[in-house]
Amino acid sequence: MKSGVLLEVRDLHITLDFDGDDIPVVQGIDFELPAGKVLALVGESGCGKSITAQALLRLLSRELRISCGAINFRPDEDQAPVDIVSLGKDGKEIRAIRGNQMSMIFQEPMSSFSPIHRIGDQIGEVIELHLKLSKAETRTRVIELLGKVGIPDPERAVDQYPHSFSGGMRQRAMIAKSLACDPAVLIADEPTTALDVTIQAQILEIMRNLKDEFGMSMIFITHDLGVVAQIADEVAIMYMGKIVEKGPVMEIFKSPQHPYTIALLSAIPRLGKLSNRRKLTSIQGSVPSLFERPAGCAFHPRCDSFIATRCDTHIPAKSLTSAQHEVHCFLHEAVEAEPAA
Amino acid sequence: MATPAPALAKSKKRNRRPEMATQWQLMWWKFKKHHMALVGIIMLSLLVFSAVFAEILSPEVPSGRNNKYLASAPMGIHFIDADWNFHLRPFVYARTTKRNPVTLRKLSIVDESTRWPVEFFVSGSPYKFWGLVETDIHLFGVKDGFVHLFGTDSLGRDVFTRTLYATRVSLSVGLVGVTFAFILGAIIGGIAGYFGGMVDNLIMRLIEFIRSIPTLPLWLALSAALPREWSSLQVYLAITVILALVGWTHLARTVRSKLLALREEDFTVAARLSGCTDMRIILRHLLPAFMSYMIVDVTIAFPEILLAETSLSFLGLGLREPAESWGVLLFAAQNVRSISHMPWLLIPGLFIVVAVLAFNFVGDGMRDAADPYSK
Amino acid sequence: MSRLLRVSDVKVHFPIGKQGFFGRPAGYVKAVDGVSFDIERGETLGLVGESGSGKTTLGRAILRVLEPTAGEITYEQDGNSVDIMALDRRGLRNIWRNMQMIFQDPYASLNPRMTVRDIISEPLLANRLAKGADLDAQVIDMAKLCGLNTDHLSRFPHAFSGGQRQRIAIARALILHPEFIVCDEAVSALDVSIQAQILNLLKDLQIELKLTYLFIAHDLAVVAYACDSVAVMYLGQIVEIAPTVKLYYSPQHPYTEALMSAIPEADPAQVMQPVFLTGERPSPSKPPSGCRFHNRCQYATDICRSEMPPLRVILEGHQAACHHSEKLSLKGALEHGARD
Repeated sequence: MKSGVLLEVRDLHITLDFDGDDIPVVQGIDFELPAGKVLALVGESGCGKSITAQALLRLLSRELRISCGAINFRPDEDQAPVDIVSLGKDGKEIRAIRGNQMSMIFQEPMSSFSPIHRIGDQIGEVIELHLKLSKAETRTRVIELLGKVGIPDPERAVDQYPHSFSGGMRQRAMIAKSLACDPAVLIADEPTTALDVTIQAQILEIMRNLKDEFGMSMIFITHDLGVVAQIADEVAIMYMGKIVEKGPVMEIFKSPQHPYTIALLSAIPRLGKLSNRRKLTSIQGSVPSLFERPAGCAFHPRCDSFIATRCDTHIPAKSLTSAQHEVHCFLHEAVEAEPAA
Repeated sequence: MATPAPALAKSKKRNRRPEMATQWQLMWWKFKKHHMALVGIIMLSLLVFSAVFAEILSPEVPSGRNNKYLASAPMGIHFIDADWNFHLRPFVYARTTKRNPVTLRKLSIVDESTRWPVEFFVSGSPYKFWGLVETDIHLFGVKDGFVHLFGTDSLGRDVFTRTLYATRVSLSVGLVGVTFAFILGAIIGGIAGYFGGMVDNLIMRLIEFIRSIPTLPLWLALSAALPREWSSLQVYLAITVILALVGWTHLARTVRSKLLALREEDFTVAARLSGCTDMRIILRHLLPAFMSYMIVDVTIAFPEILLAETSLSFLGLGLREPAESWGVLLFAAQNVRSISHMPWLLIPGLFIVVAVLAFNFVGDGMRDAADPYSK
Repeated sequence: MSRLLRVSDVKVHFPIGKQGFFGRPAGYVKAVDGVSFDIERGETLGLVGESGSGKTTLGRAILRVLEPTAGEITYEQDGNSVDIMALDRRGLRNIWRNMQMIFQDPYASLNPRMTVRDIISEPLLANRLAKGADLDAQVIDMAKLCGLNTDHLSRFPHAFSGGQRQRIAIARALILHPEFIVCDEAVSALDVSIQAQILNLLKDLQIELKLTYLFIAHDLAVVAYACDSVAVMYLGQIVEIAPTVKLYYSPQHPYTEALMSAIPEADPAQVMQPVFLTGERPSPSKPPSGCRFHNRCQYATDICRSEMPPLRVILEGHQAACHHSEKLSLKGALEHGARD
């Protein structure tokens, strides 16, 4: 594992048990999260991004299991990395990591807090479990956290129930809870999708501050390319359980290489082009169901640059179009074959 | 390096076409996965089969009295005799009567030396199949002898025969009662749910009032009000109506709450915008949606009505002799003397347990399958 | 262009709670509180706002799917002005042959127990407009127009993806050849690539069938693409209404400015610098005095706290409800970002 890298995912495969059949959901993805960076996992529904995030903390539901691969986690540079895949599903080791060294925030602020417990108690629970502070110390820390995420009047807020909080406030409280034990990695699963656009802007600001001021490393899952452009350092585009393109955010947006990425970027309406209303480029067809995965490259039935007898029979390997920018596509296969200069 | 694509895993389920499946097909597929429910269906099928073919399946007729075997225990069927010989045809041991010199009670003694072979499709006591076809063929029986699988009561009547006939009566009372309750509940619940507001308010208060009355005294009062001179059939119909009059409330509430929920769904709004009248929306758009829930409710209501009839008849206020139902049969087992001397009279109780359990299992399976579109 | 629909001072108030058995409600949720605008024939008017703005309620009230509490809605049908509020049940069923709706959730708007053919033919059957072979022909034509093929017709909705279901919903809405469609967040629940398909389909159909759309949405980039004019709603009222380019590039209301600044642009070189609104959105049952936006507005003054600003013409074709529109120079979308 390279130095400075907190989390490394190698050849991760996740399968779904459907009535006795094993259906592949995530097929061999690799990525790394360096300290202090934000990696965005981007894709449409069914690409497997949320399932990948859940797998990182072994939160997969019963029908899903990790069938292959490693998730190496090294929150502390001096210590050896731990392979999360090798840990017991709900054993002591993984529970010591959850909420403590790696925490997660979810999409629905309305349902992520228990309605019958106070906000302060729910956030304090994580602190009591992992940091073992006294009640008074816990309360002080919770109030401090609520202030850090911009909740007004934290001394009062700590004793309130979730129903007195608006959606934006609850999301802030959820962020506060995830930060309670100073985790090394924060996983955010569509944290702003359910929020109004002005509230989303506020939450993104908080998360940007976390990155800039506190050096928090994040894995940010979303389908919104606008949000990705605003928060991510590195972007991985997923389609049907595979990463089709990965690279620094500027390169992905300025020179996308994979036909799917190119199509996605031209499918979103852009403000800058209001005066000339070019038609949005749509991608023909729709995402196939998991049970009808196309042979070869999963995107080929919808691809404008489809190469017959190649894309439908073989799976493309990784090619590098620049030092950090990788793409899985036969259009770029030639690049790999060239000898290093 | 590029890897050749592996062959697509073919799912065994692929040959089904779920996108063409109606809601009933989807429900059946989901139901099939529920093993206890399948067991329940088998149990129910057996009960229904014995109810329909009661006359043929039983060796006697219910009114037949066997003076040679009064108040006596179930006769066992054997294949191996006392000398350890195997016989292909099952048999029962002969019974002879003797009088106990002290109590002067008639006793039945097993005579192991004589075998009465059980024959199939024998000619026995004549009967009318469903009151229509005269015949005298019984599925099994003993020529020049008798076979009582569940024993006899104090009048010498075969408990096995009476139990099978009772199955027919009890199940049909349940069926008729549930049908009445179903129709009544669906209509009233439907009106409450679709129109809402004051109408809904009034109907709900009425339902609450009815449900707050203790059921047993209500049934007792209603059935005690039946004139004693009424024929069995009249009493039978009256009992089912009484049971339905109390049983519709549960179904009405289910229908109402489902309808209130479905009314707000986008597809209902779309139907209104399409120009459908209220009646068309209820019948064409909403009814298929809550039909499955109503069926679940029926599988719950059925055993309730079954038990209600049993309780009433057991207390002597429902069906009465000479009609047979499980409750009527248990009526005869009501005293300590019967239970201690003739415990086999309680066998109809076992049938009740089996029937109620079967309905519950099926109900569980149906509840899971009832919404095949839930994610 | 002629006017197709006029909405005048429409209000939708929902009563909350009851005091006593026959008592009056404890209060009202003023979901829509005095909205007026016109829609021209052939135009697409966007209706945007955040949660609690009342845009969905307004869309349903215009079709009288929800009953408005007050106001007038006038629809121009074949040269006659029809007063929508005065129609009885039969009149409504009649006018709905001209006014239809496409819903947000493609999973809830199709009856899962009806085949696609049944769903699309239902409006024709309910209005007794066609049957038999003629009905089949019309259904097939409309299905093809919406991008479905004939072997889709005998299937059930659960066999289809979100985008395809939305096509079915569109076919159903258009089978009676209406003139006016309310698109209630019609693409919000769809994936990005499918969203583009459906938006393009809606545009093509608008030209082909001469449709007028009221496009309700919360995604400002989508609205900018799809609409000719846009109305911005806040807490039950329209705060600004203007042609799209003018609204986005030179807003006249502080709330619009805040909205535009919050749009995340898909360009990492543009770091957005949103205008952050102070305070919380008030509850629609207790709107603040004066201008409803004053407690969150950085430009608020005394008059804003006491007097409600009317929706008035600021520039040609551009209305806003703010006391200070002329004095403020507000930034439009794309003026808020800093170039990296």
